[in-house]
Amino acid sequence: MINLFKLGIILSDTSRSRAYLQTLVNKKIVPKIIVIMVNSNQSLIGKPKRMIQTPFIELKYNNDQWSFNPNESIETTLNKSNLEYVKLKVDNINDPKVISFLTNLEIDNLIYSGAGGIILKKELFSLGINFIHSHGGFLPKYQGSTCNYFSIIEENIISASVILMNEKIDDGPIIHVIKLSPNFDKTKIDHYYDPLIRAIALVKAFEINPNFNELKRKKSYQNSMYFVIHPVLKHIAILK
Amino acid sequence: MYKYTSKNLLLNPEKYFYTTFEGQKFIDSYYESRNSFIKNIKIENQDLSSWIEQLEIKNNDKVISTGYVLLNYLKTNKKNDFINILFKKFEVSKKIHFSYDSNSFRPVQKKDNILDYILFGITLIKLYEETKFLGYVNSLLKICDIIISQNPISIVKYAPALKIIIEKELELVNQL
Repeated sequence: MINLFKLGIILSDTSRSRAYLQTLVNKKIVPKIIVIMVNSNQSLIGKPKRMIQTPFIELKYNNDQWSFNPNESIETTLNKSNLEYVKLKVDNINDPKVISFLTNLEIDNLIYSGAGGIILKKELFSLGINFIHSHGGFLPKYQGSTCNYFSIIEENIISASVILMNEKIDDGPIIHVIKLSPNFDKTKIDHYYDPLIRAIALVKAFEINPNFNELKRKKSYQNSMYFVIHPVLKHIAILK
Repeated sequence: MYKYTSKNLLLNPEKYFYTTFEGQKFIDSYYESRNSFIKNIKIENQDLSSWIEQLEIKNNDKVISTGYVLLNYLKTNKKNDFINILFKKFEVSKKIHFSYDSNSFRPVQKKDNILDYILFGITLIKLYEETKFLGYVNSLLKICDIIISQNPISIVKYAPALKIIIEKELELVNQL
C-alpha cells in the first residue's frame, strides 16, 4: 500500500491542480510533501484566469457525487486544511532547483500536476521516485493531447488513466483507468470536467489499486498518439 | 466566419490550443468556407490518381526528400517509415519541410513547398481510409486550413488535387 508519509505532490496553480488537491483532501489522501511551483515574480505558474463564471463543478461517478470549486486557489485549500507546503521559484519541474529539492526528500511517489505540455527530464527518473500522472484519456488506446474529444466522437466515452510516468508520452505502467458517459455540459470539459475526472481517477487508484500494481494491457494499438484537436472535431464532439 | 484560414498559416502557424466553442454556427461557417473554396476552383474534373501519376519529383539520396517519399507512397503503396515520423513532426510544428536528415530526421531545407502539404494531405486521406485512425482526419483538417490560407495565385496550378482533397475532407468530416 502507498505510504502517505512517502507520498508527495508537486503543483502549479491550474484548474487541474485545484481539482486534484480538493478531491484528495476530501478523501483524506493527503501527501506528506506538498510543493507549489511559482515563477520568479512569485505569481503562481499556470494560474487559471477564466474561472469566475463557473463556481462549482459536480459529477456523479459510480453512485458517488464528486465536486470541486475551480475558483478556490490551491493555497486557500491548503490553508483551510492547515496543510504545510513549500513554494519553489521555478519555471517548471525540469528546473535544477526541483531536481535538487527532490533529491533530498524521502518520498517514493510524487503526484505530478505541473503546467501541460512539459516532458520530464531524464534526470528526474533517476531519483528513485515514481512520478504519478493522471492522463485525460483512455489508455493505452488514446495517448497524447485532448484525447477525450476523440474518444467522445468514436465511442461516446470520457476517461482518465493513472500511470507511472516514463520518458515517453503516456506510455508508463497503467495503474487505474476510469471511464464514463459524458452526460454533462461538454463545453466545460477543458478546465472543469477533465480535471475533475482525472482527480477521481487518482483517488480511485489509491482506493482500488493501493499497491500501484501495473494493470495488464488488454490490447496494443498501432495508432494511438493523438495531437491537439482541430476546432471542427472539437465542435463535433461537444455537439454530439 | 471561419477564422482558421484568414491569415497565412505558413507564416503564422496555428497551434489550436484551447480553441473556444462557438456552437453550430462554427460548423456552418466551416462548411461555408470550404464549399466557397471549392466553388472558386475553376477546373474540369480530373481523376486524382491520374493527377498523381503525371507528377515527377526528384529524389536526393543524401537526405529524405519529403515530396519524393510521399509521392512514392501514393504511386506504389509502399509506405516509408518516415511518413509516421512526418505525421508527428507536422503535428508538433505545423510545418512540412522540403527535406530532412536521414539519421536525425531534423529539417535540412526548411523552405515551404505547398506541393508537399498537398501530397501530405492526400497521404492522410489514404492512411485514414486504411486505418480509420481519427488522428489522420485531425491532421488533414489542419493541412486543409494551411492550403486554403495561401494566396490563390500560388496554389492555382494544383487545382485538380485541391478540389479533391477538400471534397474528401468534407466527406470524412460529414461521416463523423
